[in-house]
Amino acid sequence: MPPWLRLASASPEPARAHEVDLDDEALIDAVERGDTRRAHELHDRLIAAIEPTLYRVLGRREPDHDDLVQATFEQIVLTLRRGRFARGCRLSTWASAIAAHVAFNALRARRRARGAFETRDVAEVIEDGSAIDGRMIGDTEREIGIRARIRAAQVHLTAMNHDRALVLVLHDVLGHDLAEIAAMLEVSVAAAQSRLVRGRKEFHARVRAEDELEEGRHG
Amino acid sequence: MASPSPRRPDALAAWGRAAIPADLASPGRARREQFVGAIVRAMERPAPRARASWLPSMPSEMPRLHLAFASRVTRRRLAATVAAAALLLVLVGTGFAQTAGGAVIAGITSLLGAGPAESPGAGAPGPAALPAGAPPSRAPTPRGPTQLHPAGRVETAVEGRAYHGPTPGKVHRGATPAADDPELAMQNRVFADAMNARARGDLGGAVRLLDDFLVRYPASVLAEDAHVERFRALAGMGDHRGAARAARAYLAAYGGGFARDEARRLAALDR
Repeated sequence: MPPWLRLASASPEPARAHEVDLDDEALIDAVERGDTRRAHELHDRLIAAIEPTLYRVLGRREPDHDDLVQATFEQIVLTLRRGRFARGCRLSTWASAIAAHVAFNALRARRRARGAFETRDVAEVIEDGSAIDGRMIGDTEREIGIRARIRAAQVHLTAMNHDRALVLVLHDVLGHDLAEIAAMLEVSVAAAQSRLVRGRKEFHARVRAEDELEEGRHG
Repeated sequence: MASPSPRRPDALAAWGRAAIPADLASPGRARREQFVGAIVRAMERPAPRARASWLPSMPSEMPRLHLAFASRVTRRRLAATVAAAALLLVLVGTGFAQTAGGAVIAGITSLLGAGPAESPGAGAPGPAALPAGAPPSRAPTPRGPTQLHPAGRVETAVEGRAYHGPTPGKVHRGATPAADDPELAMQNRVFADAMNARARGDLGGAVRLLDDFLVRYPASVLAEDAHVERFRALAGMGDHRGAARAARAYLAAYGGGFARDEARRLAALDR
């Protein structure tokens, strides 16, 4: 049986949580110069942040998982070459945010493809048991219920304001703290906090509306 | 009295706790080469031009708005429209000044009782009044709106790049979401001060500010982060007993919190 990882703290070294490593600086400079000899190093430095983030946000290994990993790397390289990374956090932390963004956009694209635009579709969507990898949660009745809730959460998040939903995913699902999210997204802590508060309110409101709809169906 | 903040939704907490396979982080050789190839291809593309910072960025998902014109709007067209509007304004302004403008300004000046010598620009020597060879003024020129970032970085809109030097005092951008709510603004300020203290290496100061924050705003949405930053700062100071105590307090309040694993490790160190 393969080993499994549990979500760990995003910043185990508090004193360095918001600084770019010196090694990161050299690597970023190399990418900005277009030095392809450092491509392997960039891959090895970031892959451990990108793959788990994609997997967790999507809930399973999708058929296009490798395409999404590639898209994430391309986005990272393009952004670095434009000099748009403000270096407010570690490179791997920022890469995790880019991966979350790519995964989240993939979720939204699938939702649009399904034509699932209203909350009435949530019940139908969460019936899709394969949407969340059973190994992530488990297969007992209670755990199947949790999988359904995660699936429903994905649906609600893809219907929400993108910025708020992304901060919710980064904070409440991926475990980054607000100061770190602010550095990743290059916004102030106040803006990150505001998005989190508003995102949670919107999320709770959507869950309540869905519950009421369900009660109406069964009652 | 701090306003109650929404708690982390249970579904998101469960999502965050879900396990993921460890072998994800160690892809096979073929996959590694595939990804490295993608990185090399992206690096070999012509270097993209940095966007002019005065142009607003276009939302990446514009077509999603389903507006007929949305997908046809490009930054180039937007720039051309802005330039045309500016040219029009200049032409209209020049025409106005050459015709009625002079008379209107003279009328206003006489109404205010100011003679020609007191009119704006007449009293103070302008650039033309400077003696030949005089050095240009060294007065600082405005460089665009300034934004305070965490960790004491300041970014200007014109430069577009972060400045990593010391923060020259507190700078706030115009209307922030917290500006409407003094309570929220105060929470943000205390928390940001603590984070700035930590970024300066003043962990003791950070702990004091976080203590103050938690006493004043125990129900804040930042309270969980404040607990986490507090036990991290204590651990960073080498106060392992204090860090363990703070970690246990965090676990008691946020058993399913985002930093629970780290808190458990710290709490276990003191047993």
